[in-house]
Amino acid sequence: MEQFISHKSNAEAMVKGVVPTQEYYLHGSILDSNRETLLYRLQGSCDGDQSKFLDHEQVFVLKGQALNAPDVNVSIRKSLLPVPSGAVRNPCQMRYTNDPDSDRSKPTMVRTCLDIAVNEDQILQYLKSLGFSFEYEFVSKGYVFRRGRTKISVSKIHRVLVKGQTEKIEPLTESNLIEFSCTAPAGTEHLQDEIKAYADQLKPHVNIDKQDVKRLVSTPGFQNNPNA
Amino acid sequence: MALPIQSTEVSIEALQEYPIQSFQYDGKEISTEPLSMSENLSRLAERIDFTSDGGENVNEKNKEEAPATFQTSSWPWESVRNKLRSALTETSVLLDILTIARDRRYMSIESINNEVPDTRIPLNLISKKKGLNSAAQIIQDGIDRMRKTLQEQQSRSMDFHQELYNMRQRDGWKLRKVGNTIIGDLSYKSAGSRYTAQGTFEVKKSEDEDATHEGTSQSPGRAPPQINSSIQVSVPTELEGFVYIYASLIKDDGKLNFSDLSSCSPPIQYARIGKQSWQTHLDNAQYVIFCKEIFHQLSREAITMKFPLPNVVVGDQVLCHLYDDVKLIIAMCRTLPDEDDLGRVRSNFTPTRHFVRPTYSYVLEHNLHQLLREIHSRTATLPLPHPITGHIGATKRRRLAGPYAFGKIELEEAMPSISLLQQIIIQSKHYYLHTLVTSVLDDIAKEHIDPQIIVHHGAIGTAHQSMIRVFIFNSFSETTRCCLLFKIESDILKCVSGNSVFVVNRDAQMIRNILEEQICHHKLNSITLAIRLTNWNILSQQSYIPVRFHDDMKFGGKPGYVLVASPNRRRVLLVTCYPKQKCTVSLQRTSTGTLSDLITEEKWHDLSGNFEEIDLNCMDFTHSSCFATRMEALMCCLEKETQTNFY
Repeated sequence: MEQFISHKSNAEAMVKGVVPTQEYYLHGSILDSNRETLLYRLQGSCDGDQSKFLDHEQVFVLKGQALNAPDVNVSIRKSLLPVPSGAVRNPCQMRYTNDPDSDRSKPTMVRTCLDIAVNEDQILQYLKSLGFSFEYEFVSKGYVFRRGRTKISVSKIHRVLVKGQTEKIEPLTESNLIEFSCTAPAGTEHLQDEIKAYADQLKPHVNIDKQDVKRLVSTPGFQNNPNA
Repeated sequence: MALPIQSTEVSIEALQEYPIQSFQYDGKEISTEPLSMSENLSRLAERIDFTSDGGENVNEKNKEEAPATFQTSSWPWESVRNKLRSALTETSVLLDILTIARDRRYMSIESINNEVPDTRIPLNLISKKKGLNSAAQIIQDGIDRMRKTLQEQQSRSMDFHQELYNMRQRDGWKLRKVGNTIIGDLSYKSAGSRYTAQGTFEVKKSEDEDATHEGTSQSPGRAPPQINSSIQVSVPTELEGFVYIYASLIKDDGKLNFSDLSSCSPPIQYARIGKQSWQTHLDNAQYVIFCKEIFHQLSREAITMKFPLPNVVVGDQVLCHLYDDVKLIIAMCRTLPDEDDLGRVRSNFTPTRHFVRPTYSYVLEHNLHQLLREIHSRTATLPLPHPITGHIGATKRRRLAGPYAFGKIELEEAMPSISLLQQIIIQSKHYYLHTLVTSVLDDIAKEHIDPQIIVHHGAIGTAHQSMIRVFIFNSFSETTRCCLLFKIESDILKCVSGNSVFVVNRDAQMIRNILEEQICHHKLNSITLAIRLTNWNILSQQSYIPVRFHDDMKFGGKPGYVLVASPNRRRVLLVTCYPKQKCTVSLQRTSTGTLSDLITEEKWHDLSGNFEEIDLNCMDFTHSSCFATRMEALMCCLEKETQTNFY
């Protein structure tokens, strides 16, 4: 925080490597029947307690204007958990992520990501004005853990049946998504080994590894085989 | 026939004519074409027998040659090809056999043992005996090991692995295996601490259980604790021993010399720390880390931050200035395990002349612990609900900063600008004021039996704000009570009484004065009530004029008084109240002389006279020491007396 204030602008802060722009992440999947064991294991090895979360995420896309220009994806995520009376609700988070780095030698997936808290009422209008179009939405429900700088979430993705109505949801699959994620400023590659080492510790329960989503989508039968 | 022998040269050469193949009907001869070089070679090659291995079967060769010559017409190289093919087949078979034989799963190539089996019986027996012996030894070792394990299980409540499991599951220690050693983590990093000190410990299987038992038999006088644990932990040497944070307020009367502080530093004591269970051992070590973190942060802040009066950090000691004459000393006291077997407490500390050991404050120590834990929890993750994306360390204020368009000033406000040292100084000031008020109240409550003083300490308060409510009331009457409220903050002490608020600045005398005044006031109030109850008439009344300053207080201030007359106006009483003094009751003396020329009627006797003080203690009211009750009784008596006299 002090570092933020001491810098005159965001751009300056980013150049000096204060803003965490790199996300190192790994993905895995586990069936409902085995989830409790994993949660138990995570609870034992992570810092603090597990926290239950219920988030709604909307993804917007800005189609590339020029030929071969990549699409820009932006997701807006808000918590659906009830707020204690008298407290101000935490704002929703907007996240931009680009395509992951295709370097296979790295132990984790790396992508550039930017997180910013936004005002929910105005951001949708703003994105629309910029030309973003609504792509899809889902509700993520599960547990989040913390281990040092790594955030570990075990969550189930739910489909929203009627657009915009987050009460009517149904689970997409019988499996849960596991995500190991750590956001850090550029030049903190050593964190990758830390994440990978911890993911390897959970090998008896679940295989958490680099998953290239693009490759998975193109694989036939991906939808029917959610358990890795 | 004898021919003359002539040396005739006969030349032998190849016939120039080619062999005739056939005759045509016209008698023309068709001779065969001569063999070309390659045809000649192939014919010669046909003659080679690839199957024969030398000149052993020459006859067979000749026999085989005859048919071979007849078959040449089909294809010149056929026989060669056939032979080569058969050779290839044999080579392939050989190769296959070799491959299989190399694998040793289906086939093995062994040399044929043509040796005669050894018939030497004694040698055979010896080798068998040796083999049996070694087998027996292995079984014996196994039995021993099993027996030992069984004994261990019987002697101990649980085995090593079970205890290790409990250590992780029940006690929540973080353990991991590195190589062959088990390493645990003692630090508070997972709880949000940023202290970088090393805090690892090693878990080992204890092997000295037998030694411990032997030790007990040798020295029965000393009773070492019975530790039935298969786990042994070893912590770094810097985390051994006991540590506590020593926080205390001292009064500096000008004699405290800072140069002596180094010699005043808390003693490092050495004590024999008996064998302790691993739980206690780890708890102690973790406590050491915690105390070190507190002290480390305090000393760092004391040096780096600017205060009106500079702080002093000497050794394991920090000295801060609360007021000109009050100092806060925070020190880290250590007790290290003594290597000396005698077990006596050794101290290298000699108190200096100036060092007066101040009272040790548990409250401040507890506050320090609480402050650091708050810092830890602040740095830990933000509690839900919030979207789980986003950075871990972001505070709620920072999350709100964007959407609510906070400026630099608001952001700076959100930063935890107040340091641990500043907080503890604020809390110490409050603690000092609180102690001051409490001690004055206790003293006054001890001094005054009538009226009674009851002090309520507010249960709801913070470490830098609290309330004390004081009730003054008579033991036999709940109707009149006086209420005071002390509001204690860090720098300011306020006293609320009725509608007035006084600001008291850590002045014990002033607190005492206010209380004395209130007591005085209360007495007058209770007398007024008694007067009303007995139907006496108030002739004149002066409430107590509060005095707030020492100088006036020395003269007792201006007293409050009540002048009352009996219903028939024949008796007049004067009650005077001075603070810090007892109330005096005086009765107006009436003339007792006989009638004279001037005084013709009895009623003129009551006219005037001097006031005489009455000692209320002489009254026979042993059951009540309450002043108001005595006054009430006195008035009743006087009234009755005048009535009897009058009628």
